Parts: sequence; structure tokens; C-alpha cells
Amino acid sequence: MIEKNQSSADAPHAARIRKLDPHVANKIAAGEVVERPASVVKELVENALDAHARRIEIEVEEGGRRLIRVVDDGWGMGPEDLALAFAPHATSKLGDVEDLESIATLGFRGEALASIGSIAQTKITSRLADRDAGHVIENRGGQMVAPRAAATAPGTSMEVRHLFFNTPARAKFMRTERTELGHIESLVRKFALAFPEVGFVLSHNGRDLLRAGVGETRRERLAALYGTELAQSLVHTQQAVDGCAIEAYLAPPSVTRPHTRDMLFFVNGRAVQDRILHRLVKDVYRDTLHGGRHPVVFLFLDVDPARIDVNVHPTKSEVRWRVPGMLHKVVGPVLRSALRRANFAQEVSTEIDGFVRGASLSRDGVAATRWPERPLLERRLDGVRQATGDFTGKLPGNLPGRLTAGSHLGESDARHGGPGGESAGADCGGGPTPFSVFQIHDSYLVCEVEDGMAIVDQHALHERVQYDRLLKRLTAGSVETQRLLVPEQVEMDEAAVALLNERQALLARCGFEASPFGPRSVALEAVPVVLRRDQAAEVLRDLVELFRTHGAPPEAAADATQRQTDPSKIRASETSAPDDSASNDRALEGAVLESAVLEGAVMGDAALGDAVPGDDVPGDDVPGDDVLGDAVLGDIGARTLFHEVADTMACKAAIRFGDRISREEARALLVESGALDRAFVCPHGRPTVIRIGFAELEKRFGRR
Amino acid sequence: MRFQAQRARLAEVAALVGQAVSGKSTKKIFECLRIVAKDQELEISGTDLEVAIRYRIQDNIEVSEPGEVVVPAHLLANVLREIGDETVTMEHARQKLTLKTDGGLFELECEDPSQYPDIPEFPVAAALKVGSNDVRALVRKTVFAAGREAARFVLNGVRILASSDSVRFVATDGRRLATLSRPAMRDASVDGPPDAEVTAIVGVKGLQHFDRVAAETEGEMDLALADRFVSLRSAHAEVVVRVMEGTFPEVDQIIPDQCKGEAQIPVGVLASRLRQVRQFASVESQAIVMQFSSGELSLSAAGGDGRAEVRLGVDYEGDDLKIGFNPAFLLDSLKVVDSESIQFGFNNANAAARISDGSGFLYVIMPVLVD
Repeated sequence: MIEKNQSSADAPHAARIRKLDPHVANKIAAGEVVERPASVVKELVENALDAHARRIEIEVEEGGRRLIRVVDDGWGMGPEDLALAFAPHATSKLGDVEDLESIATLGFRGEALASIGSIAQTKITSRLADRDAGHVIENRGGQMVAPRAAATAPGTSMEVRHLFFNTPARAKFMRTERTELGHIESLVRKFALAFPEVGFVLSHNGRDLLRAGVGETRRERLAALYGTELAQSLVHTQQAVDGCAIEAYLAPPSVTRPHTRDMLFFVNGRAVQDRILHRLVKDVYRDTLHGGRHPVVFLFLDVDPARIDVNVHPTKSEVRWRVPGMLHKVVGPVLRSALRRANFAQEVSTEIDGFVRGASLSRDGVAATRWPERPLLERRLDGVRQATGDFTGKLPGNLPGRLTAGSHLGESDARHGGPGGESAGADCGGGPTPFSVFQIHDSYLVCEVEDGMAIVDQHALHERVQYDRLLKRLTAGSVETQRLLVPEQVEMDEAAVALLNERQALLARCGFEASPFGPRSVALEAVPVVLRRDQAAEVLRDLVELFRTHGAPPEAAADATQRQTDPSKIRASETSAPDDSASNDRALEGAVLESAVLEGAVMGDAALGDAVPGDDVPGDDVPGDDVLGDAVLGDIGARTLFHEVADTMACKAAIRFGDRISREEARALLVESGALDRAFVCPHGRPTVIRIGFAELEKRFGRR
Repeated sequence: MRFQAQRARLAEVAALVGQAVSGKSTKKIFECLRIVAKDQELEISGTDLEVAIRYRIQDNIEVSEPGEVVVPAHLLANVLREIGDETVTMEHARQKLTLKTDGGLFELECEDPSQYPDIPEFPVAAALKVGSNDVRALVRKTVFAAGREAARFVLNGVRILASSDSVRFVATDGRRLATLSRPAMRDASVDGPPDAEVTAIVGVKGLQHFDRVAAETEGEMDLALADRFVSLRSAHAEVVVRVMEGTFPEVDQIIPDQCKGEAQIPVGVLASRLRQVRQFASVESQAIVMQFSSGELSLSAAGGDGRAEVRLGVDYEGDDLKIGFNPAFLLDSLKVVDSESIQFGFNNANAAARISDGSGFLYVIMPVLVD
């Protein structure tokens, strides 16, 4: 930009519009392509990979400002290629426009080397594999030095020195050496993950930062980059669905990060920032993570190049999906089922497999996580089945004293029972199941399992059980409702009373019936069966808050896309505006429906113009709940509300830390939870079960 | 203080009184019971400030020196239970209670009797005569329906209504309600306004003590509702329960007086069928659906584990009706009815249903909404 201004100032009377001098044009383009040293590394490594290198060494000095050297053992270039290397839009990767439809190489725009050459002192040394000698060509900020012969190994070595030496404006924007290096390292990691078969070495000021060998498997590569422990805890899934090859490595929910740097997405070998994938993954992990934490996920997608557009941004860090809904429909289920299949019960162990202890201990530093093929408690139940022999149906239904509801807990408990009060266990008439369980300090359950023992956080596990129940009910229809003999008066502010009155249908779906009782209170006439009565009012107040927060997702989405949608759709969205109380009885159903409609509209790609994400700085969170994401991800908005409702109620409906429960109830809880998905972790991501295996016990007791 | 007593009876009474005394308290004296020895009578009492129990022992007692002592309840009860002697001698001196047996000597540290909470005397003026079996029935048939953790604290208690000729207990947790009425008689020897109805709400724990005392009593007992306490007295024992403050729901407004449909259902068959079907009430749906049609009642439940439907013949004529209930609530009531069959009355799937057994027991249960 500076150059351009200067030129026009120098020649006030000349024609106003002139063709830019190629050097200037290159410098301007360089501003787009080469933002920081990491951008140079990216272009050079991509070139190396496109040349089928088996091994790539990246050498950096002073955060890349002083030197970036990328040496590969790829095809190499002859003197003729070298002569053209710095010419703008010179590329070996694209012939004509049709090729753009099916780009299979990483680089293709042909602007990278020209750009880099214009703002640094660049030297390319290359030798074709079948030649005896190589050649070298230099470009000093746009001044070319003709190719000459040079002795070198087969492959290419690209050397970029003094980046931005002739663009002081850009140089000023360079961050500290550490920051720039961070960007480079994160970038090289992504390449290394995308290409496990290629060896990578990254060194800075002569010191190795990263080293990954040639010909590794993906898991080996993950171990090399993130440590053996994390790599082993990852659940792997690989499937081809609907012309899309999906491979994912998912960390257990107990392993989380405060940042999103370890949520990495690769599309056709290219690391991308993609808000749709980002939200999809967050949704998959939704009810297993602490608030504000992010999962660790490595997702590799291979799709027909024709189904995506990678030519959105010069850095190619984004893709545009021809059919965005595909991700939600195809990738979501694969990830969900992979997580569901895995059992993440934490195991106490002092042993860490392999020798890499450092890098990635899980957050609390104690737990090595294993993943038996089937959930622990389920396997445990096999033992129960065999031992008792007389169970005919599915186990949980036959056990005595199962926890059928929070509300039953106290009521059937013998300690409360007045004269004539019997325990629920006696009701069902079954015998005890033969595995030991004890409650300690009215808070934890200690139980015997097949290969050792397990300690259960009773509240957390029951919360998980209740959560899954509630969510199922909410999604399928409504939460089971117990009507009250005596309506209970609940006080709240006027706005809340009005809101509840407007959302009667939604409220009923959550298992409540409440009608206004004066301006500042409601009469609670029915409550969810699972809730203890003393908590109903509190939960109702929480629901009001949830309804408030989730007040208008459909309207917001509709407003923002009105430009693109036809008038009938706009009218549809207006009818569910908050001031129209009649239609708000259907607000929720509306939300789901609305999203579906919008999904169609957006897929027509009209709104995509607004959707260019910002800076691709690694670690920056992908922009949040934007309109596009809401619409494209369809019913996630409505589901979010259900998840939160289930979350709110489950915590209240669960037995508390400090509640004494009978042994039958404890058993029933364990048995029931064994049948559930994700029972290893409470809805907030805390573990529910810790296992201590015989091996560990024997070790601690010095038996071996 | 010094007395000799029959060990077995003393042990029994110490254990009974000990049940009213809290097991662990921040103040040691609240873990104690009090023994008062006076002219050929022992009075042993204990309290946790909510419930107090007082026993009098008059048989086989020899008081040689009157006095008063406060000792740890559970320790005393345990010692008396373990020693096998026919009689024991107890003596209080220098802050210690000494138990002497044939070959043994036990010393218990004592607390200061003046610090022990006062237990109100029985308010004779307010007393009604009630049969001990009636007391037991009143407790047994209502207490189970009281709340455990109701938002309205009073629902954790049982309401007692006493008139000059009847006593009625009512308990509800807001989802179901149980009530029973029994005849009572004003003590002819006492003056007072004849027909005033008095009412009080008391906690479940106190009523369990009522039941215990009534269980060892034959014939009539005295029940008195005073301002702050409800007392029950037999010849030897007295239970005093603190009254809970608050407003109890108006029972008569809750109980449906009209029922569109009424069915006569055999209790035993209904209970066993309910237990069969209940196994299938599941994680997702805890309700059991009752479907009434002419001469027949079907019970069904369905969930992820499967479904069950059973039928039983009932005495019913009327429109078909489908109504859902929490099976535990239904079974609770069936456990306490004494008759062979119940009268089951209902109006619609949203409104309260009514169970009665023809003996003054009435149970009202709110439905669970079913699709």
C-alpha cells in the first residue's frame, strides 16, 4: 500500500490508472501470502510435500526472521524450472481452469515463491534425482541472480534470509521471536500430523524442537508429537461414509485443554480452521466436558476435491463446503459412536507405558486412561449373570431396589420407613446380587469389579444416569410429570412469570406445570417425577434463566438471513417473535423447524459471503455462535437447550454427596449405569469411576 | 441417690428412652438420659428436644436414697444389656454413677442434672382417651405418606385433628395423601369446652415413638394436644412431641368428594400384579398405566427393557379410562389397608384418585401424566 501511494504522489499529472510494476505487485501479493515467517515455512513445506519428499528438515533462526531453510529429498528442479521459480503465477501444479475443480496438491496458486522472493533474500538450490549436479538461483528482494551449477544432494533446499528486509512496515508487525516460533512449530506439527509417512525435523537456532521419523503410522506420529500417554488414550475411528473418508483420534473427556489448539482438522491433507467442524466437535463432546474446556481431537477428512473449495483464501487455511450439512449428517454420527463405544473409566496406575512421560499428562496428572472394548460395569455384569444364572431378561430390570427415581430414594429407604414401611428391596423380592459394594462417608461407593476394585462418586454417577434419562425423554417427547395435590407457590419476578406463561408448552415438555398466581408468583401444579419436591421451585427458577438465554435463537438466525430468504420464510420467522405469545407456545418446535428451513437456504450458499473467518492465528478460538453456524448445524440450537435443561435437572435429581443410600440402591445404581453410554464421566466432565486393578494393588502391597 | 432395681426391666427402659436421645451431639448432655429416684418409683427420661420419652418403673424398686442423675444413654443401656444379673444397685456420688452387680463394678461419668432440658408434664386437661390399637393404626396408615424433604417443611409432619369424639391423622407429601379417623373419648372427669376441634402438626419421628409405646400398651391411652406439644401417655410411659409451626393444606379441599368412576379391586391381586408390572417401569418412564374398562383393569408399563401388561377382574362399570401412577405410591397404600378389597375412585387422567378401605382410611393419589 505504501508503495502505491508513493507512486501516485511522484507523478501527479500522469494518467491516474497505471499497471503496477511487477515488483510492486509481487510485494502487495506478498502481504497477503506472507504474513509472518510461519507463512514462508508453510509455502516451502507445501512445495516440498508436493515434490513427494520423504524427509523434510526445517531450520529456523531468530524466529524465522534471520533464516528459514527447508531442505527436502523430493523430485528437485532442473535449471529451467529454477529460472521460472520466482515468476508470478508460475506453477507446475495447475494446467487450466478445469484443474481448479479437482486440486489434489497443496500449493497451486503459483504466487508463493514470487511473493517471498520479493521481500527476502532467497536462494533455491535444487538437483533432479537423476542428475549428477544441481543448480542454485538467488532472488535478493526482487533482483534475480541467474542460475548456476552447484553441488548438492538430490532434492531442493530453499533458503529465506532476512524476511521483510525491504518492507519495514511489515517487519514492524513481527512479534517476538518466541511468538513467531510458536506459529512455526504449530504449523509444522500440523504438517507432520497430516503426513505421518514423511519425516520432519524442526530446529531453531541449532536446537531440535521436533523430530518425527520417516514412515510412521498416525498413532506413532501422534505419540512423537504429543507424547505416548495421550496417543494411547486416543480412541481411533475410521470410516468411509457417503464418499467421505473419516479418520479421527478422540481423546477421553478427562483430557481437556483451555484452548482449541489441540482440536485439529485436516481436509484432504490440509490443516484447516473450520467453524462448522469446530462446533460439530464441541457438540459431540458437549455433555462430557467442564465448562470452558476444549477436547483434544484429531480429525482427518478425505473428500472428493470437487465437493470443497479450498481456493477461498491465499493461505488456504479454510475450505468452503459445497454442502455444509454433510458434515453434520456424516461426520457427527461417526464421532459420536466412536466416543460411545469407548470406555474411559479412569484407572489409577503408576505405570506409564513407553518411556515418554512428559508432554501430555492428563489434566489432573494421575490418570492413565485405558479403553477396554466394552464398558467396565457391563463386563462386570457378565460375571453377575453367570454367578446367578437365573436372570432371564436384561439385567437391570430384574435387580431389587433399583433406583427408579430420585423421589423414590428416600421414600423406600428403611431408615425413613415408619411402621409398615418396607424397603423397596423387599418389594421386588429378588435376592442380592453377588458383587460387593460399600458406601463410604455417605459419598463414595467402593465396589468389587472383575479385575480389581472401583471407586464411584455416587452423585456424579447418579447425575449421569439421571441426565441420560432426562435427555432421552426431552428429545423423544417430554419429561414424566407428577401432578401435585397441593399446588406450590413459587415467587419470581414479573418478567419470569410472563416468560413462563408464554412458554407453557416448553415448560410442559420439561415436566412442569405452572400457572401465574398473582403478578410475582406462579402456582406449581405438576413437577417432573424425578425431582425431589424440595427442589422443584429451584429448578423452575433455573429453567426461567435457561429460557431467557435461549430466548430467540430462531429469530436471530432468521433476521440475519432475511436478505437471502424469500418473504414467506421471513414471515414464518416473525410469527415466532417473542411478543407473539400465542405462537410462542410452539416456540421450541418452531426453533427446530426454523433451523431446518434455514439450513436449506444457507446451503444455497447465499450467506457464505459474510462468512470469511478472521485471522488464522493458531490457538485463536474459532469465532463463536454466529448465524451461519447456527443455521448450518441445524437443530443444535434446540438441542443445546435440552442438554442444558437435562443438566440443570439431573444435578438436582441425583442423590447428593452425603446422602446415605442402601446397599441395594447402590447396586442398582451401578448396574443401571453399566448399561449407559458415557457412564464414566458426569455431564460436566468429571470422572464418575476410578478403577484400581489387581496389578496396581499387588504392586502397592509389594506382592510383586 | 441410691436404689436397687430389676435389671431386665431397667435395661429395656433405658434402651427405649435411649432411642429418643441423639446418638451424637455437640453437647454431651444431649446424649444423656435422666434418672430420678423418689419414693419407690424411678422416672427415666430422655429427649433430643424434638421428642421426649418418660418411663416410670414402680415394680421391684427399692429406693434407699432419693435423687437425680444424668448419664450417657447409650452407655448405660449397653452396660445394662450386657450384665446378666437379676438385680442391680445404682449409687450416685461425686459426679459418678456406680453400678454394682454380683461380681462387678461400673462407674459412669455424670452430667449436671440442672442443665438437662425440662420435659413438659402431661397436660391432663386436654386429654382424650384413645385405644392403643387405634393409635397404632393412626400412625401406621398415615406416616408413610408424609414428605421426607418437602419444600413446605410442615409436609414432613403429620397433622393431628382431635375433636371430642374422634382423632384424625393426615399426612401428605404433596403427591399423595393418607388419612385415617378413629373414635376418641373425652375424659369425663375433665372440664372444658366440649366440642372444640384442636389440631397440631408433629414430626414423623415422634409418631414412631407413639407406635412403640402403644405397642406395649393394652387398652386405652391418653392423647393430649397442647399449644406446643402433643403427648401420649400410657400407665407407665409418656411420649412428648414438639409441634411443628406452619400451615398444613386444607385436607377437605384436596380429597375429591365426587368420583365419576368407582371400582372395587381385590387388594392382594392388585398388589402382586403391580409388582409384576413395575419391573418394566423403566429408566425413561416410571409410571404404570391403569386402564379401566367394564369388569376389567389392565396394568401396563413399558421401557427400554421391554413391556408388560397384566389384567385383573374388577368390579367396575363405566367409561374406559387410562390413568398413570407412580407404582410405589400405589403399593404404599396397599400395604396398610386391612380389608380384602379397596374402593378405587377417579375422575380423569389429570385429577386425583381416591382409595378407601371402608375402615375410615382414605388415600388420595395424584396421577403421573401419560401420553
